[in-house]
Amino acid sequence: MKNLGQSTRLLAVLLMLSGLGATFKGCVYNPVQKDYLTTSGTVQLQGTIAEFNDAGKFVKNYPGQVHLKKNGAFVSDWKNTDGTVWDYPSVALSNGLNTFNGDVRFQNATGTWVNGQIPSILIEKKTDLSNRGEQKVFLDWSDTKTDTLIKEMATKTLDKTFTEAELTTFVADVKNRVVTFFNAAYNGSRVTLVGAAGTDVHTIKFDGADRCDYYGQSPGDYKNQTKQQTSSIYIGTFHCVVVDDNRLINGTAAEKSDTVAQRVNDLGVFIGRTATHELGHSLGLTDESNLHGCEGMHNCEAYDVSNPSDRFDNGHYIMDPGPKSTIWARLGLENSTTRNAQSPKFNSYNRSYLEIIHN
Amino acid sequence: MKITLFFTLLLASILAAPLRATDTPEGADAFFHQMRNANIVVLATLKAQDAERFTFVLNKSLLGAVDAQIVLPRFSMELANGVLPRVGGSYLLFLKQRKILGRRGIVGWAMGGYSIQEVKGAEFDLLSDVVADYVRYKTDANGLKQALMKHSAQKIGYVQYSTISDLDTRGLLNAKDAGLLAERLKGGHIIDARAKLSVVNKIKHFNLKQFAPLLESMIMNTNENISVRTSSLRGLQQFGDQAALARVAPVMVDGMSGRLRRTTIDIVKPR
Repeated sequence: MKNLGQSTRLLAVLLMLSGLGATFKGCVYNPVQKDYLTTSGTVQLQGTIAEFNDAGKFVKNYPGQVHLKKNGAFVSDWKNTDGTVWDYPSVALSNGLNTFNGDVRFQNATGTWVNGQIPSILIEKKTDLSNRGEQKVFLDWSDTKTDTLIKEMATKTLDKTFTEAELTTFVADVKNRVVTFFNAAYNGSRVTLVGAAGTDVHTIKFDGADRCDYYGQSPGDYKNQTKQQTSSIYIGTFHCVVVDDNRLINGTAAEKSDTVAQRVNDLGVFIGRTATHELGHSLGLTDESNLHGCEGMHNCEAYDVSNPSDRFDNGHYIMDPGPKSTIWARLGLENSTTRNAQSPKFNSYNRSYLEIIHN
Repeated sequence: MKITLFFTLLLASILAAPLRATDTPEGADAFFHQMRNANIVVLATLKAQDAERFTFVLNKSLLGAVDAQIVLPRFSMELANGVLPRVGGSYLLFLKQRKILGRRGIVGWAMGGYSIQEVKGAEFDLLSDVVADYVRYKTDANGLKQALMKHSAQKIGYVQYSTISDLDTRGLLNAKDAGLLAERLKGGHIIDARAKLSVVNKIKHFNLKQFAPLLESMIMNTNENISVRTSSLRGLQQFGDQAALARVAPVMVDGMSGRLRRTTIDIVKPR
């Protein structure tokens, strides 16, 4: 079987869980992403007609027919597979949202038609996006009060007694983890960290003021029309939540007996996610008029209710709205009770936008 | 106190600021965070709006003193949490008084986003009680807990969400409290989606396996909020309830939610 796709794996999962017996499905392996933006005028869709047995294991692909729909209308008449692969090499995309789904079928040994369905895929064609080239970013830690706050987040949440040198190292390690998180999150788009501010540089300023309202703020800038902007990250609010409110210990699997390395990772991901989030706003995410955002330019839970999309996940996606982003998701944890990792990331729709405007 | 002129001056400077998006802590739109950052809470009705500002008239001040007319910059309030005030509607506004140069303090918008909630007229008295309890128990965690547990039983969405969220984020819930809230959820008394999500998360946090049937019923309800269903699915996974997972799986694949599909895949993906 070619390139077992997400829907194929899902079917296998379901059959394993439910023991429903043999099931047939239209599996799409191209495109790999099932919810993305494009500037292309056409798309190639390829897949198979797959059977799974009652143990959930793939049995075989069948030659048969496919009937693809775009936005509720059939793209063509029933189309035969080539061998066991169905292929629409060039389907025209309409401007705006293109929802693909449809049916597959094949004839069994007795000549009876056996049917299956193709799960929905969302491809949004936009004509107003262009490549803005490289975006340089400077992480400005010049406010030394941030160091004091980070040190306290170490000493107040760990049993360990630190020396001043160890605390200095702790701060440096947290800042390094912010960098590695940031770089990993923007991998695939031309967002580059640089060592100084400049006319084409976005500055992310880490602020050490005593406050407890915002983690950060940034100008919203759809299509990133202005490269020199400033975002602010308020380490005081992190300190307030972690130390004053004790939410790190009370609300996650973190414990005072944790290792220093664990706490470096906790805080580095926590702060790094917000730095990544704020830059995301200034690159245009998630614009409410153009990218289906809501709740203050964030990933929209309501959109997922009315569409087969997957754009909101209570903080596991980087551009999820603040009040709905759990602290454990911000720390890169799967849930509140375990240390299972689930690193925050851009959803596929947001990622495709970034890859278009900073290619 | 006549403050409108001063407030208008402040407003003018705020309006000049560019459109900004913010990231706030979990539950930042609930009472505690709002009242931590605001010192004036009012119920007001939107009287007029234009491209730049909302003009409210005061219905009742729950905390602090304000003028009869309150003018707020339009952009920041709109971006706050999806609440777009409409003329004639009633709202709960969290404001902050701060000093400016001159002899008098002013009432000004300083909180930014997440400072507005839509309310119905019938909720005014309850909201007054809730705000009064937050003030009364500001430094008394146990007193606050008792008050919030009581208020969380009210079938008013924002109050349910806020009180349960605050109980959670303030670290005031133990396993027994979570069980009590879960029983309320089971009885259909918790109606707000985010309040439900908080309770489901606490069921998981305290590993309350006796509520697995409740989680299953919410997963099977295709009208239920997707976050609630997804969290419930994770709960069954955490409890290792393979039989329940088998029963709910077909609903996951037949539903339209991409998130539920992905979550189902994640559950059995080898780690």
